Amino acid sequence: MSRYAELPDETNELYKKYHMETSIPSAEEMERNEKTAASASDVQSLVASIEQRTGLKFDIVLSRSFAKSMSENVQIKKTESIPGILSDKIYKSSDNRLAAFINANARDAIVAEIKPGSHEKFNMIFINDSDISFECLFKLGEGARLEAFQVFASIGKGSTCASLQEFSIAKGAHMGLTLFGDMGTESTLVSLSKGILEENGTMNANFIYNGSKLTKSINFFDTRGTGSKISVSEAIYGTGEQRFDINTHLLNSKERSSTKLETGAILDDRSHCLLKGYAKIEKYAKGAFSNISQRGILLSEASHIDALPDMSIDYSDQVSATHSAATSPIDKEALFYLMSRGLSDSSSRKMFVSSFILKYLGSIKDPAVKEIVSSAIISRTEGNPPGEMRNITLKDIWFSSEEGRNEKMVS
Amino acid sequence: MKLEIINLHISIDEKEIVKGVNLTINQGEAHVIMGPNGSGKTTLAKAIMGHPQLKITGGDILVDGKSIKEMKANERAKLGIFLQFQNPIEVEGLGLLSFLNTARGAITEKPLQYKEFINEIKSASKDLAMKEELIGRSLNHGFSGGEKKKAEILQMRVLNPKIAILDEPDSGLDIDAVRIVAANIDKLQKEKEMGMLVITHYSRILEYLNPKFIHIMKEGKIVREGGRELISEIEKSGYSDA
Repeated sequence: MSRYAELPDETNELYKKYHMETSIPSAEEMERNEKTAASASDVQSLVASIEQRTGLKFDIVLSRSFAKSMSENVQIKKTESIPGILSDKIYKSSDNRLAAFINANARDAIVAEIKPGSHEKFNMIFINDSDISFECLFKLGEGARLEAFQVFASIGKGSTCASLQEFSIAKGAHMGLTLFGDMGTESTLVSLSKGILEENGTMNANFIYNGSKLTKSINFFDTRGTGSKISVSEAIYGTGEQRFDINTHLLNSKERSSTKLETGAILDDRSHCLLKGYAKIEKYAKGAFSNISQRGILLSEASHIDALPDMSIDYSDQVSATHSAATSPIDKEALFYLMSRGLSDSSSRKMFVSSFILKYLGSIKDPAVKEIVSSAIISRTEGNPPGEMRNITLKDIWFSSEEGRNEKMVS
Repeated sequence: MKLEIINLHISIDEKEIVKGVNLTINQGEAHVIMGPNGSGKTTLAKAIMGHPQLKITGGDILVDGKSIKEMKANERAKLGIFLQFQNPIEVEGLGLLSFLNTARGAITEKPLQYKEFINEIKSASKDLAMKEELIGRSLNHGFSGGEKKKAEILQMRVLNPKIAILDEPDSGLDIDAVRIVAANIDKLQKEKEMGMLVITHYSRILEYLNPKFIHIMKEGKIVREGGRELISEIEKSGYSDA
């Protein structure tokens, strides 16, 4: 049995019970969607519009009809030329229909190789212009550093998008990832990520799920090297009938490895979220640290969160392992406090929601990226649909510096 | 501005907590309510601010002769009423600075320029002997009890109310902090001619303030009223004879 087959998806009865079916389109629907796919110029104009509104420049653009890379470290290749990505058991074993979808809709793959010791930063945008599957392979050499911001956007309300990403973090390397799901309300986002961290490799991964009718995420991170460290933050904002099935597995494989998962979800209307966090401390992972924390706020009576924090500890020598989950309605005393300072009921709610979500964006290093993401969520609290990123003026951004002072960004 | 509490009755979950309180606070006047635990002081303070969970079963609250009973808390704040909370709420992720600037904008509809605003905050925090790093943090998050009380007074100064209700501004403060907080309250009250209602258990803070009106509250009612002489009487005999 492979190590992936031992993950709780395969064995845990609760995971089988708390499971959302992936709404993969049929072959006929895929054919129909392909005929109505957006053109390359539609994609380029959407990218230009987002760039204008946010002030960001995207180094990599990937869609069914258009692909470009402005970075010499990033190559766009035909998926079939990179054997290995699609054949990984974590992807295929979880859902056969999904594997069929990926095989049918895979076009281009991104291969990013960061040389040992070098520092890179990418802004990437994936456009769901019809049913599509993206694959990305990130290879960080020893001591390399990469900060990657990934936006998943759609043209119109969107269709189905599958993303398969693999991160290989070599000795002493660091990767910061911010994945922002902001596709339209009729779309499905299936996001599968796998990270392998070698000795003293570190990764901060931020997953923000804002859009899509259904978001299904399976993340697996393995601290395979001594002293390696993975920290995952997940922020979820759901309204209407949105559904989220968020499944993150962390594996402490070696001595002094550290894994951390913090998830915050705010749901309104009839939205529903499954939070599945699983951490496993393997034998002989002496001095390992693992923490899972799941927190949910329900803004309506019909919204629903099922939280399943889970741990399996095979070794107990100098190991620290904790997990917790809590879900509650919005704090009425906090709302009264904010209102007593002159803020209206709706402003107080917005402020409370955005501050809750901001906690889970804390490890995003780039203040502009943090502002773009938080503004998009605040826009949702004002009743706007996902996928409508607001105009950002960087000089107006207030942010907390690492020294803890509130400062203003000067453009 | 004149705040009138007229025969006010307040219930929580059908249980009457405040049982017919009458009180009038004019702008520029400093009042004190003292009383034992559970006498309804905090309930009264929250009801004046418009807490939605408190049910007013009788009487009225008037500002300049007009009832504010149906007004929401934010509307009362815009009229110029401020409540310093006994246990201020922590909101992680909401920066104190951006919150205060938004609140100030909501109340005065004249947001300050960034530099002017920061200067005011820095000056207020210096007067209150607050660590400067606190103003860069989330709202009350990780603050000690004393720091929270100081942050409440800082908010009061920035929001510049006409009538302030201070619910135990001295609890959780050490001797030096009581003196500093009291000095700031006294200065603001005099400079801004603020109407003020201070709720406290202890007379120490009153050594630094100069209230002319003392009210003793027991079992949901104001049972005695007078001047400063009441403070020393309570110090000697406690509330049982009040």
